[in-house]
Amino acid sequence: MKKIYLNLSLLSFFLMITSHLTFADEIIPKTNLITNKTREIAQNIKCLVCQNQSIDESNSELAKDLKNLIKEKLESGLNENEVYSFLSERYGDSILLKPPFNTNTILLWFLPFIILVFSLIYISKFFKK
Amino acid sequence: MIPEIGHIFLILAFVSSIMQITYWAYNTKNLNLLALDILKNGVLINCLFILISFSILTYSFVVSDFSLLIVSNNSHSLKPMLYKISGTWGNHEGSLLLWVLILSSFTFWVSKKKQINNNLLFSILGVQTLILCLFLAFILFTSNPFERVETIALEGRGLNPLLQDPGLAFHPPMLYIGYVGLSVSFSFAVGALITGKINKEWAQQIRPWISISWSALTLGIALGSWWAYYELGWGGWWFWDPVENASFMPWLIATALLHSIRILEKRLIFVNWCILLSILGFSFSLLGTFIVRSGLLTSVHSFATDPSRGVFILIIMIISIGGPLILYALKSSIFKEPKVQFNLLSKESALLINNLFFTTATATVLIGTLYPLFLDALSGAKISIGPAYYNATFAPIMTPIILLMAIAPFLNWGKGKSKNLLKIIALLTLTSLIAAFSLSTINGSSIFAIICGTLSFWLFVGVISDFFVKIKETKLKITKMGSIFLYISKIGIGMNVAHLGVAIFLAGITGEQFFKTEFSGRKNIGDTFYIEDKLLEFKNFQTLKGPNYQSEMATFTLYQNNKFIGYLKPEKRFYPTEQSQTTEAAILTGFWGDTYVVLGDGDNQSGWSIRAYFNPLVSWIWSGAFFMALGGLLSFFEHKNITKKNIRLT
Amino acid sequence: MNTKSLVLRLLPLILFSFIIIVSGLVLYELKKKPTKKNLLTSQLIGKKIPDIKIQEADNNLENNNKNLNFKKYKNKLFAVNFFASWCAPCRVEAPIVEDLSKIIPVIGIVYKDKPNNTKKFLDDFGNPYDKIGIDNSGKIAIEWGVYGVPETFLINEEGKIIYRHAGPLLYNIFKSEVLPIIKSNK
Repeated sequence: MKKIYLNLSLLSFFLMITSHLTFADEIIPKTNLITNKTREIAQNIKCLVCQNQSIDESNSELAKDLKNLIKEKLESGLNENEVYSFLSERYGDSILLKPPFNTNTILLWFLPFIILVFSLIYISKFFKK
Repeated sequence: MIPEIGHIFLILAFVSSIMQITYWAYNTKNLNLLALDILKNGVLINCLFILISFSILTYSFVVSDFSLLIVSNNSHSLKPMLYKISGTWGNHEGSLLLWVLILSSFTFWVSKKKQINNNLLFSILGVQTLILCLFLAFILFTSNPFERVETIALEGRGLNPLLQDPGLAFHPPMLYIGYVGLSVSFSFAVGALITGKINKEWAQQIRPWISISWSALTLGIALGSWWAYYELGWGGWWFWDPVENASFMPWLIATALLHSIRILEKRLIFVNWCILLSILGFSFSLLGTFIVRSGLLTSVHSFATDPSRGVFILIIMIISIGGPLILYALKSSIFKEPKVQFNLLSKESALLINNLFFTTATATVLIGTLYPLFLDALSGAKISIGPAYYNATFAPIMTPIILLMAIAPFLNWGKGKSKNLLKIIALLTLTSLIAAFSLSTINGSSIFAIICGTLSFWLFVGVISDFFVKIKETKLKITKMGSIFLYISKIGIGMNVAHLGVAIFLAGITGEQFFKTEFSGRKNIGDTFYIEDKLLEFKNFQTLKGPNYQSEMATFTLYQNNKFIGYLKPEKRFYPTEQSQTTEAAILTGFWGDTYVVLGDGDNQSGWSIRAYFNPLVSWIWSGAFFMALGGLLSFFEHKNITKKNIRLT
Repeated sequence: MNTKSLVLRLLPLILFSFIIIVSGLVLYELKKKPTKKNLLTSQLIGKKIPDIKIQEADNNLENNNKNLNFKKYKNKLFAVNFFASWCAPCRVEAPIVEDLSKIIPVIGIVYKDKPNNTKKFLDDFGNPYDKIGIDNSGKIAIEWGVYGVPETFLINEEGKIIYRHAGPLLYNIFKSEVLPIIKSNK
């Protein structure tokens, strides 16, 4: 019985938190799809003249120009991958914070899961049938 | 004159350590008590000499002795005293001296532990002194803190303004305590391989060192993150920067080790895991040192160094990691562990799975850190690895661990059927579904936000349920025990507190990452704007003078529901000596989140560029880490009580 | 069974050795070429110059409503130099750009600058440029993969970019990298 009370109070505590995070729509300006997409892409583009920032976080001139450029390219109909290609064709793959998927990076993307799978297979020996 | 004395004591410590190592190597086969005493005295001497040397270096910074190169390069007479002192370790050479100071102090502390078996202690002290000797060699031959300048400048070049900060003053000492603590468990493991003996006492004795170093490492990393959040000016706190990863990898290994040791203590299984993880923990600390100081990378963190230092550290690594790994490959088979098979639903299995996921996670971070370097070296191709990579690899690997953390306390040892297990899984699933549903109704939530938030909630429920079960099962009443502290250590809630910290941490991440709101625009005095339901008004703008900087400061008032909450005063500071500018963000911290305001460029006519954020639950990130460290510390004290009880009984 | 467990025990050592060897390699490379370590290599090397139209500047550094025309340099080796009056390293490299302009034609592209300031800069430090283009929006720079000023490109007779230096064109770079390329292309 005690435990049920405890967990109900935890639940209401949690719902209290979530209600705090919910806010009225009127205060926040409406955002459209392209702006969101621009930000999403910008978060994956490295700011070349800053330390450890994406161009989304950075206030530098180059970051602003690149953000505007991304927005224009999206408005002109390019999709996400085409925007990334546009930038990496001019600045190299190192401007992409999300490494591309090609022959150079296959190991990068697959190794963690290969290790996981092999170790799971290995330790399965230790479990009783 | 005085710095030369500091240098001499360092040389003396180095010579003394060489003598001790020779003595150790010579006597390792046939140990006698005299040899052990000599080593113990040697350890004390090393500690004292390095302490004198370090004090002299600190003194040089305090009095601004610009005849010393590092004081001249990194300090300034106008710097506030706290930063003059912390400037001692705010550079490559000084921080290494702090490192060996902590190392020699811990070694001395270990030598005082009477309950450690003589053979084992002899090996431990020997290994520790060997590490000390290697680092002293590195300092004396490539990174001498007492190097003088040819012509003494009238004033120093100052300390990077970003580093003139209380949080950052304590961040390195905390981290080094963590790394050095791991060296002790490393020595215990190598000692076990040398002496060929492992038993429950060994596990009991090594455990407090792991607890301390894990707690210190947790705090050190958290301090660094917190500093980045408030100091760097855009609210970022983790970038998966190679230097950050360099401290995170030892932490992951230490966590796996911490859990494995507890099992070894109880059941004498997972011997190989414990030895290997102990060796790996310190190995990753060394690898971290290598990454940060070798000139391999430039980053916000890395000290400006040259590749020749890198080669020296590489050699240190080959000796101190390669050696034990060879020893492990050859000798670890002597620990004949019974070939058991575990019930899938048992504490042992949970631990095995835990270790597996943690080591895979560590490997993932290692891959992400080294891959760009290695790819560049082998093929010339340059890539960058940012958060997106780790979100796709590290996060999914850690998710099963979080799920497991909540149910593991309800699993039983060995074959026992756990009566509570089905109940707890049902409870967790039910409450988490409700939580997931309520999260999905929040404006702006995404699938990842829901997953992250639900995981946090799952863990909360699990931890608190276990806490209540523990209280019920101990059948003890607070009134009878007399002191709450004793009560706490009896029921052993260190783990609960630490796991609670993880749940709080995850909640903080969910809020900050997925529900952040931002405002960006040009505002002038008298303007107002909203961020969420908070009203900010730009009250005034002034120029001020600080001890070693000039500042432009804007003042904002924050009102919420027509109630005055507080002032926000973002600044831009210019440090004339260092010729650099910093932005000091204004942060109003609340339980539900931080309001974060940054001042950009501008003037009276066109107004100033203002960026403001509301970061929900962000201080739960630092609080979560704090609770984790607290849990580690509680566990350290619990352990003390248990051993005392054992000694009394025998 | 025994060899299998030995292999497992050797695994950490093997991985460690791999890391040491490659790290050693990286350090070795670093010791050989310290300066170029962190500079991005241009993606445009070997490619034709970007298509994008560049506005040409008149004598007052204003837009003369014509586009920069590279036809004059067909079958010739020439250089393109991105610069600005507000850029301190540009002043440092000015004399060397002048030296360069005596050997091959140099086209200047002024980046995010005001015409008055640019004019003053050229008056003070000399105008080595055969022609000048204007990039006020930063779009030209982005097309050329430029991420700061100054940057200097060498373009060969086929209109392909064969060299890029990011940062001021210091004398030692000019001598050790640029001159050899010019000599081998004459």
